[in-house]
Amino acid sequence: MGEFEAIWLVTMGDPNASTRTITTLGFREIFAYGNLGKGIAMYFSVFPVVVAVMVSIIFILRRES
Amino acid sequence: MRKLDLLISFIALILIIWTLFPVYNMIVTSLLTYDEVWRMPYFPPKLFFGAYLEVITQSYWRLTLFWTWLWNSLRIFFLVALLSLMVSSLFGYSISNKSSLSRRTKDILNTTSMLAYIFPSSLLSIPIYVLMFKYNLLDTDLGLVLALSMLTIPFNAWMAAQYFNEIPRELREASAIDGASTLTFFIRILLPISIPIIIALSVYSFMFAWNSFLYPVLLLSHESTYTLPLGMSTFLGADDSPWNIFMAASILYALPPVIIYYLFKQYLVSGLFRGAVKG
Repeated sequence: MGEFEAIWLVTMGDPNASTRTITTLGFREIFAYGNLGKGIAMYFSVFPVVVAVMVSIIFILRRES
Repeated sequence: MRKLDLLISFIALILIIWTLFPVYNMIVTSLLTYDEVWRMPYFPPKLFFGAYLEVITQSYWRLTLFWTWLWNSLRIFFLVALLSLMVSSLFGYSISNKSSLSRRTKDILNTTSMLAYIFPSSLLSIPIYVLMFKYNLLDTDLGLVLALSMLTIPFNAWMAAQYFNEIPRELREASAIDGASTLTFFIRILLPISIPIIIALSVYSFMFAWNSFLYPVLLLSHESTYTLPLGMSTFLGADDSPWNIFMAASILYALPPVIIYYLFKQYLVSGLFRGAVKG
């Protein structure tokens, strides 16, 4: 999900935005168009997913120990 | 049973070829002349080291700063390894079983470092950029070192804690009887017997920094402060594509990790899992 480098170097999210991820989209929004707030909002939009993954990992680790 | 073995080794062979072919292609391309690049041969017609020469003497106009970039990379990444080693070994000791913190504090610290490791690092890039902008750390070594070691410390600390857990408690007790404080014990006794993990961790963080691209791209903007991958990425938007020179530079950049790996191989392979019980 946090993949940035390979995508940015190989295709830059093109052709036709088909290989864009949240990180490349946000990066482009901030540094190409200068919308800092909008870009950060894009990054923040995946936080629910990240938090869900983290919480489940904590539960798995707790059960093991 | 024998058939199964054959099948497994066949699959392994295919996977190895799959993995190594890009590397092979890189080496072949770096040995071509500029005219031969677009014919994309599988074997170089003759060994031609002009691309390497052009990189080393910095005569290609996009690579006039090659040695500066390489020096930047080496310097910054060495500092990353050093800083993350210092912080993570202390942190790792404080969350290992044998430290004097309360169980609850250790639990919280352990979970937090685990979470910091799981968290996708590229989502943190913009907040870090804003922070560095605020404190005027853009384009400085310090900014990049702080950012990169922040990413390696959680995992390193966790690994170090696993290792310190193996060290017998009697060592700490014996040193306490002789009047050593926790810090003295850590520096004089624990670190010397933990050489394998220390080398493994510093190599790990060095490699991590060596592969990093996103953070240098964000935090460095002057050509003279670029790290080498960043400098080479300016090739990609170019009108002419001297892939042989690009590949030669890539191979030169790929050499130091290989050398480091072979220097410290014994520690990296066996050191991580060896117990620390001695005498």
